[in-house]
Amino acid sequence: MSKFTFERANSWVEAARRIKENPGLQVHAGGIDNIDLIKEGILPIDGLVSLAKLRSKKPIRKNKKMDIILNSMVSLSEISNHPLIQEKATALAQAAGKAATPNIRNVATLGGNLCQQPRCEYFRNKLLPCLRRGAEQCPAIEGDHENLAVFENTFCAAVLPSSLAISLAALGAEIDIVTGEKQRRMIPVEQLYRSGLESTQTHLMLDSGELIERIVIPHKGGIRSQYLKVKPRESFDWPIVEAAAAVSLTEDGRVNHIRVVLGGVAMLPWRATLSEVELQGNILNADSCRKAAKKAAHGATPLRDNHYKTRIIEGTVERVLTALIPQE
Amino acid sequence: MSRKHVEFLGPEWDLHEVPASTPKPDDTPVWDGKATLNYVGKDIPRLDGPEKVTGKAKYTTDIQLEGMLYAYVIRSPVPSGKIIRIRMNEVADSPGVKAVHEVVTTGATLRYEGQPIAAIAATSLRLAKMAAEQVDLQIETLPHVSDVESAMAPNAPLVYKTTATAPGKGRLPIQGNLRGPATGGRRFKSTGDVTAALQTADFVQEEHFDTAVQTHSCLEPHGSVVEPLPDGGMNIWTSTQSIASVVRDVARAFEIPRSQVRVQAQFVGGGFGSKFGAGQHTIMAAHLARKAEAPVQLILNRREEHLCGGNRPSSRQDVKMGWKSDGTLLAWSVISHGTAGVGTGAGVAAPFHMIYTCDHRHSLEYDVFTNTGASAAFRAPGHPQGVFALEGMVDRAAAHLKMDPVAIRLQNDNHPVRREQWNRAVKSFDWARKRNQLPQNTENGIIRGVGAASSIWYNIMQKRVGATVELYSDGKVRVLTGVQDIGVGIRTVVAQVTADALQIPLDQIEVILGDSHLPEGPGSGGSKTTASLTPAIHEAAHKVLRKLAYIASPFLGVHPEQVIFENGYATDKDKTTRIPFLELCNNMSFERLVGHGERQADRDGILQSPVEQMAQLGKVIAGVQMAQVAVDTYTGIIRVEDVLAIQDCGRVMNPLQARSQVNGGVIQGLSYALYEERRLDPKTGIMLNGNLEKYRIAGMGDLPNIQVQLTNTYTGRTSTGAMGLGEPATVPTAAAIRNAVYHATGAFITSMPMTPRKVLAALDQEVRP
Repeated sequence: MSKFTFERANSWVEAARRIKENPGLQVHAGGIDNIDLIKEGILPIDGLVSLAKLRSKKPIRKNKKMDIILNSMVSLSEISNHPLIQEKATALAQAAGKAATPNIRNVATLGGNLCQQPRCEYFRNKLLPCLRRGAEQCPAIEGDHENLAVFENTFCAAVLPSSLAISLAALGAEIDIVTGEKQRRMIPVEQLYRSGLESTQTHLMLDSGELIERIVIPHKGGIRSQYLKVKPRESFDWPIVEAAAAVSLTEDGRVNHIRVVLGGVAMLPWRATLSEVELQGNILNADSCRKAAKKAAHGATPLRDNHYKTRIIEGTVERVLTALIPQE
Repeated sequence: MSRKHVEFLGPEWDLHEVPASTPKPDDTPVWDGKATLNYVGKDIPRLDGPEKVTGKAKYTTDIQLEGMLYAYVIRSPVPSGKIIRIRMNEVADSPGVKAVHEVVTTGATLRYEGQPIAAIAATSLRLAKMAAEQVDLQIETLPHVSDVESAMAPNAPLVYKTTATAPGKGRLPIQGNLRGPATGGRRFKSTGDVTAALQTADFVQEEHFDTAVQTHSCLEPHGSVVEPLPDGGMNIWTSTQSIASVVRDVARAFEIPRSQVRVQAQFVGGGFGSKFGAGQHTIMAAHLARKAEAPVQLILNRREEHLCGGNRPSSRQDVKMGWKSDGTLLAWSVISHGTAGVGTGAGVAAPFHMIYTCDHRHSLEYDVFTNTGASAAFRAPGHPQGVFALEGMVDRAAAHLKMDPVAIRLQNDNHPVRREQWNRAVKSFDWARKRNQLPQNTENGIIRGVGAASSIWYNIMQKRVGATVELYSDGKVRVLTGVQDIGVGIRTVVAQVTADALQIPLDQIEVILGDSHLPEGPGSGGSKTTASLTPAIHEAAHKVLRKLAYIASPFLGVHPEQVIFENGYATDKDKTTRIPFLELCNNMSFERLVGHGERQADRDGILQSPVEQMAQLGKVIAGVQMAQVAVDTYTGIIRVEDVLAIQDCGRVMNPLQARSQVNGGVIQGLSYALYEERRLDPKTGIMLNGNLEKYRIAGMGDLPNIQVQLTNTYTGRTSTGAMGLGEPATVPTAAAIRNAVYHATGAFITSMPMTPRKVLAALDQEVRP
């Protein structure tokens, strides 16, 4: 690890400005991913700008419209243990509670989770080429891709490592971005990412010096949500497939609003639109869930060794939807 | 009237009177099946537990010496290459750098990723690493082979251009990257006429199996601290399974007398076979220490562990097996190809030959050289992979015959202990009910089943290793032995044996070990530490007792030879007078009594039993395991819910520690079955998962409920009758899990690790028997 500077920002605008002025600076939030990347020599930096002071006193709160507002410096364990999240954004609490290890969850932040770099073994190893580190093409597409993307994987086969983004996308969350010029913009969480159809070095749709200050989960009446993670090991592991679904029903039990989002299958939160369409307006029961699940992998373009994922997608979607069937 | 002396030997449920020569007073008493012992055989918590949990225990990585330097190793970034240029001298003056050492020179061939090129010692690891980045090093990348198939292809790049440079040359033919075949081993050879026997078989089955490369992944990495001494000698602290082997290798490498090399290993965080010999890391640290004239620490990082720390070779096994319709095994053949990287040792045939009685057996074992790190002995070399195939074939045959898997095993297995273990397992595991009922209930896509597999290992020991027992005049005892405790608990067993041999309380005994200045102890590999060392301890303690007899003699008014020790007292055969042990110690006119013991060759013991089958007890260690799994047919994920392990290890010296070791064996076997796999990029041959994030090892959440039963057997082949345990405990786990999946789903998985992808593929092809 080479030498670098370390400074503490006093405001989001200051932090954003410092980084815009000095492209060699990176933010330091929970210190999980960036520090790893610096150690491995994957992320060359001149210094770190710590956001530690920018953690709000009440990092999880409701506004007047009953939207849930999360400060991006909130830790994953705070999210998973918070009663409001557990009740109103169940899928998010579940995703946060299943991520990484208890030690990491205590320090890793929501913002860091959303922005972390892919876990792809080619990206993370300096001895191997990677499109995101300047190679002409992605070596995983012809190489070892058993656990990589099955959707929009033409140029890069890596998958989005953020489980929280999957649940947030299902909940229709928006990201509140701040710049050094005191400008703000809000985007839906899935628009934060570029898919593997784009041949670019970063998967984040953030300009230099743009920082995520808050995440907003808009209030929608009657929404219930569930998240499911399929991982080889029960102990700490990355998902093969993960799925989050949010649903609200009409008074006569028909699907009013539905979102089904998959993770571990693409470089962005993957909307299983055909599954949603299948359910829209129908009664949510074992039969309709199974039918909808059968359409979840539609449009997949699996690589040589990851066809098996499409089957796991179907099974996982069936289970996550089934968990949302109202109990008599 | 002299009664003929007998020993009670055999399994605890079937003791036999075996004639033995009448022991003389100086002979170390033999503990047979009726010996009454206070500590041996009891649950004694490990003596160093508190030191370990409080962090007081000093491992190699904890050794801090004044002025100690830190070494960084420049390693090959390619699996195959040639050094075009290397200039180390230019970094010798870099900040903090105190010594550089070139392992290879210009023109040298690089054969695997991670191969050491040069090492740098500096005042911090960071400075050593920074200097390493400045080294003028140019490498020409050459074509490589990283898997068995491509290494065997015509015109494949050769790992060794000439056989003269290849390991194991001379013993077996080497052609291209192929070494072998071996048709036999130390304990077995191919025999009979397999071709003819298969023609007479009622049915013949054929399967292909493959298993991945598993890395040892010890909790404590390989590493050494080397302190150079003014006389040219060295003090070395190292993480090792054999202190003596480190002394030997370092003395040889530096051409200095063994007496000038002192090696210490008080605590070792696991080895599993990968920590024999000094290793390149110790030799590099020693070169740097000598050049810098300062102590040097060299510890491998996790990626280096995966690349260079040793591994279990892969295997590809083509098996053909012929059976009679009553379930009798008639004949089999196995051809195996595996890669031990740039090393050798990928054979798998031993368990095929050694478990089942069969007259027609044919095995051909090949090593396939690839451009990957050399394998090392790994907990029962060849056995988990061989048993994975063998015990799968047996379940295949049972399914064909609609026979119970345990019944078909009993039909072909004549080991008296394993036969009883099967009977006990069937009862304890509720086997029959689970076999009949479990797979019938599918709930939410999850199906359950149970499977079983046999274990085997051998009575291995190391002669002439020893110990000194010192009895002080205050009644305290010190046991000195150069053995290393690699985490299994020999420290505690040594104290137990000494306490029982001297018939004094355990807390009187202090065990001093882990130092080559002490009497040479056994290497801890082959599951031989306890079997090798405890008879020597017993002998040393007994010698102390016989010397104490001379002090007791005048008090008792009998000749020293007539002094008997019983329950902490000295007495004679009439037992009219008795003197407490401590009183005798207080009457020493000198500071201490010393006895030295050495491991002698095994006695005949049980081999003299009139029951012919009993001979196996003294040679072959038996075990069986059963597993219950839940297979998720939606995701292909296997969860192991229950494992029953019944294991023989001769006399069980400390059931608490023994159960712990069996637990570890089951967990490592489960991890091998489901998760562990060294993955290389198919194009570049670079390791993809050289960490513990993507190289998956079973964690707490993946562990089944493990039930351990230990079957005591008394072989009388040594005075303690201890045999090995570490290796047999891991041998059958993977096979039992696969057989359980077969029972649950009808899908027969022939490839390890059993990943979701493979399970789903097997489910698609499933043809229920």
